[in-house]
Amino acid sequence: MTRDEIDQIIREIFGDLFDLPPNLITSQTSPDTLLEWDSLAHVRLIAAIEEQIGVTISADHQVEMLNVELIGDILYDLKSQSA
Amino acid sequence: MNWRDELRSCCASSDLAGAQKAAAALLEEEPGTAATVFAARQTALLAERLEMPEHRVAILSSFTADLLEPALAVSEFLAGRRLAFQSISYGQWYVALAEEGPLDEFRPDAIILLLHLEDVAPLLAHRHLSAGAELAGESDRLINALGDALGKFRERTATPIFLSTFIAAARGIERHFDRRTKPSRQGAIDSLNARIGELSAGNPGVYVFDYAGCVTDAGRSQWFDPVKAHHVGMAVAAPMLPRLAHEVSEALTALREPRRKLVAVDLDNTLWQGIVGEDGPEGIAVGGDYPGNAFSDFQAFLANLRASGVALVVVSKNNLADAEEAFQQLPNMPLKWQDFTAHRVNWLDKSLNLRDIADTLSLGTGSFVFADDSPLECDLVRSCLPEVTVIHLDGAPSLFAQKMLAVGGLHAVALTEEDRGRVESYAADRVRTELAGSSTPEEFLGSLDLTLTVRPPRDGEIERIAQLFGKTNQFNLTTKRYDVATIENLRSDPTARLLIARLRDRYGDYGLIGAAVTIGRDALTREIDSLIFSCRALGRRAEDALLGEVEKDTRAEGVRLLIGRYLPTKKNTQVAEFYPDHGYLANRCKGDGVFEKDLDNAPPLSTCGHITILRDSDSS
Repeated sequence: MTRDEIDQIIREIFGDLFDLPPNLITSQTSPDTLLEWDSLAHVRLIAAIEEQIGVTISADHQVEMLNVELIGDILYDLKSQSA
Repeated sequence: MNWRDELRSCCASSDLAGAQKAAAALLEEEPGTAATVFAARQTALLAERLEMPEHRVAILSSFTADLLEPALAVSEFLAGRRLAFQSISYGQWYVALAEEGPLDEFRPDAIILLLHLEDVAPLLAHRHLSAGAELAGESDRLINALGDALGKFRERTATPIFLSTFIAAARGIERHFDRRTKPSRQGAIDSLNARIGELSAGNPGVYVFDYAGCVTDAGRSQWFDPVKAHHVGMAVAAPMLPRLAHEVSEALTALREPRRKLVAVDLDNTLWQGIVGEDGPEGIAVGGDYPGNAFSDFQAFLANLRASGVALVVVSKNNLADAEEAFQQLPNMPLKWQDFTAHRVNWLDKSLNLRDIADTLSLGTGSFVFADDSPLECDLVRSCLPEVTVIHLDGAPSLFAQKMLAVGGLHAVALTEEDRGRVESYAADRVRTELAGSSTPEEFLGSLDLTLTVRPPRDGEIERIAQLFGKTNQFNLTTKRYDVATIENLRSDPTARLLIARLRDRYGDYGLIGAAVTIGRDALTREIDSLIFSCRALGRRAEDALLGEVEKDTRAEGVRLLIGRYLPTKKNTQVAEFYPDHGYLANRCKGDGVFEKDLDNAPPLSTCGHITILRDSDSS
């Protein structure tokens, strides 16, 4: 899975979960810039990512996913390791 | 088809059926958190715009149930309702029930208590072998706490509440020896679940949500996510939430909606494989090896459905003699010819036959399910009688039963004594109808040996009374829909009197078929708030006898004026003149449909000589 493919899936997930059009999602979108991204939404986001990308995200990684760019980085590493 | 776009466009154009179809298809194709949240958001807007009936559901759970909301919003939308959701999580379920607070403020229509064994009985869940003597006390404390919380909750409200059954999230070291060892962990869980059942059966408006069954169907190891349970308190794996929501909505539908009363089945390739008219009874497959065993199991399913109170009828294009011969020649089939309340085995259009059966049994076709292997027959019934639930039995006969259950309308959350006897009572009705046709009305009524019991309700009867208030349309003077909660309130209201009527005759017991509620207005005036009688028991003048008993009680209390009210609906015109016909005078000053009787100056209502009336509180 390429980084672009991962970023595309992340954008789609954000669209579904937060009703955000792709152009409003940047690499720096984070719980600080997106009001709806609260702790409950974070649990939901992790679940959606696990389902769509086909990975299991460890508890440690879950807390590190602090913005869209970091999510992409972690997922890319996970997918590269499993490939 | 892009179901996201389709759902968006159906919601934008307020196309409810289209949106329901698209939402179901989207989640079928892409079951998951993202699609569920998307569908919940889209459908919420439409549900609000269409002002779909709001359904207030509170989930009290021992874990984080907030995540269930989108899935439940979608499953409620598919059931035709708009969800208003409250989640009370972790250890707060006891306080929420026992003490007035947020739950009361939310005013739920229904409550689901979802408790995980790991949270509320940790010894049994994690270390039943090392816990020693403390183990038994843990289960006792849990059941006592539940009973106590329910009792305190019931003092404030009669909102229906579901208790969940327990299942362990994982099996431990005991798995290979558990059942032959004491204490058996699964044995203790079974006994806990039996006590949940007893709590439910002993408390009106308390039902059982079979969470353990739901988890078992999905698979325990799929269901529970031990990592998220520890990390974020979410023990249920996210992909399982739509399943849970579906099962919750199914139970809520069974609680709210009237159950289907009759299933009409075809014969050939539905109850057996083959065509009896061509192959003969020896040529059709039922019982024995495949596919006969699948059809035989389907028949067994239908026999059980019948015993739960749903009537079965045969609607088949065949020669009647061939059909009867099949049942005679194959006596080992689970279904017998007499199990069918009616049959229309002929070459007429099936929708005509269904209408005819509805007339004969005094049932509405809206309470019918039609199951047939022919897509053509299914389509014809769908187009002529859109209110009938049509189930196309195609594909593997092994899956017919699941198909019937999935389409819904057949589920029930409680089985009353009346439900169990209902199908027999249809048969007794048929005998009575035949008798009525061959004698004068007076002779007919006299020959029935009718006995009417009138008394205040007992604890076990409240569900049935609520059922009667919910379904009675024709003989219903004011059409108030009282639920279990309201009925309980009426029972404890000192100004209200609630009487029930049970009827039986020489052919059988009709069960609890009538109810009357009167409310004291002042020392000298009472008003008949509700008077209802099941249409199954009408035409025997037992409804007159019930009114007579209401008047007798009211007079005995020293009340002079009895007020009756008729609130017209589309379906209750037959009782428009009920009060005037029984000596009540219209009082237009008080509004249309208000009637009064001066009990001091009116003679007692002529007693119906053909009915024995029992007021003895020990009678049935």
